[in-house]
Amino acid sequence: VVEADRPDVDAIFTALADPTRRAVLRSLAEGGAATATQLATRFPVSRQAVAKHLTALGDAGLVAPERSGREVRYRVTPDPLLDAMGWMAAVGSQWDRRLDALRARVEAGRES
Amino acid sequence: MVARDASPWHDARVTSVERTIRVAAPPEQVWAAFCDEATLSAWFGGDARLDIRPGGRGRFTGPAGDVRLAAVDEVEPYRHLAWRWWPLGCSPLDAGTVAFDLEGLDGDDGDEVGTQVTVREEPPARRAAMSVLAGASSG
Repeated sequence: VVEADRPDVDAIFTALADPTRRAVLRSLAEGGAATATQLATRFPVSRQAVAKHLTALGDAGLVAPERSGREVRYRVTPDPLLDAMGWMAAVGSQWDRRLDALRARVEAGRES
Repeated sequence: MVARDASPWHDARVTSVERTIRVAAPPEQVWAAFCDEATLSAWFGGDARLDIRPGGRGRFTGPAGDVRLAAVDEVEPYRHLAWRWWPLGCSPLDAGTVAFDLEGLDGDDGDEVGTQVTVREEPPARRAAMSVLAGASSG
């Protein structure tokens, strides 16, 4: 079970909070590995901006650079994403259970 | 630019977990469920202790024996309660946050008096805390 104490979960959420970064990630997931220059042709932002987004995604472990010749291509590394979704699912189901119990307890106390 | 489909990671609210329920009791009675350890533990699960005062400490022991320490940050009786919590043995820099908001539902038109309870948990904010510390030490 992925627990709430994973320090890297926040980095993942921070990286995904930006719509351009989500679009870059989606583009890599759909189209396969690509260079920053290739990605810049797909979005209305500069190559430098794409490179910054790739750095943020890389810091969160969501993409990994691969060197081939003189090119650096980025590919999606999905495991951290599964960690983040696992955190949300685990924490969400804990609160579902606790809130149900809270309601049952308060409403039972009211009837007695 | 922004994605077309509904994959979870396209949702900006992926940054936190939020749940809302309605309880058929006034906010004062919902609030009371936080104030005594036996009651808090009963619905929270495991052993739950929380000193509901700004700066108050807490300790949550899960059913599996896992321990989390807590520090209360915000208290507005019957309305709002927020704390930070982090696993025992970890730095408070690894704390996530939990915030409860209680909203009284009026009994107009013969509706039952009730409370809307919203809880929001944010993941550990270590990076944010680290950057604040880095800024403080360099400045």
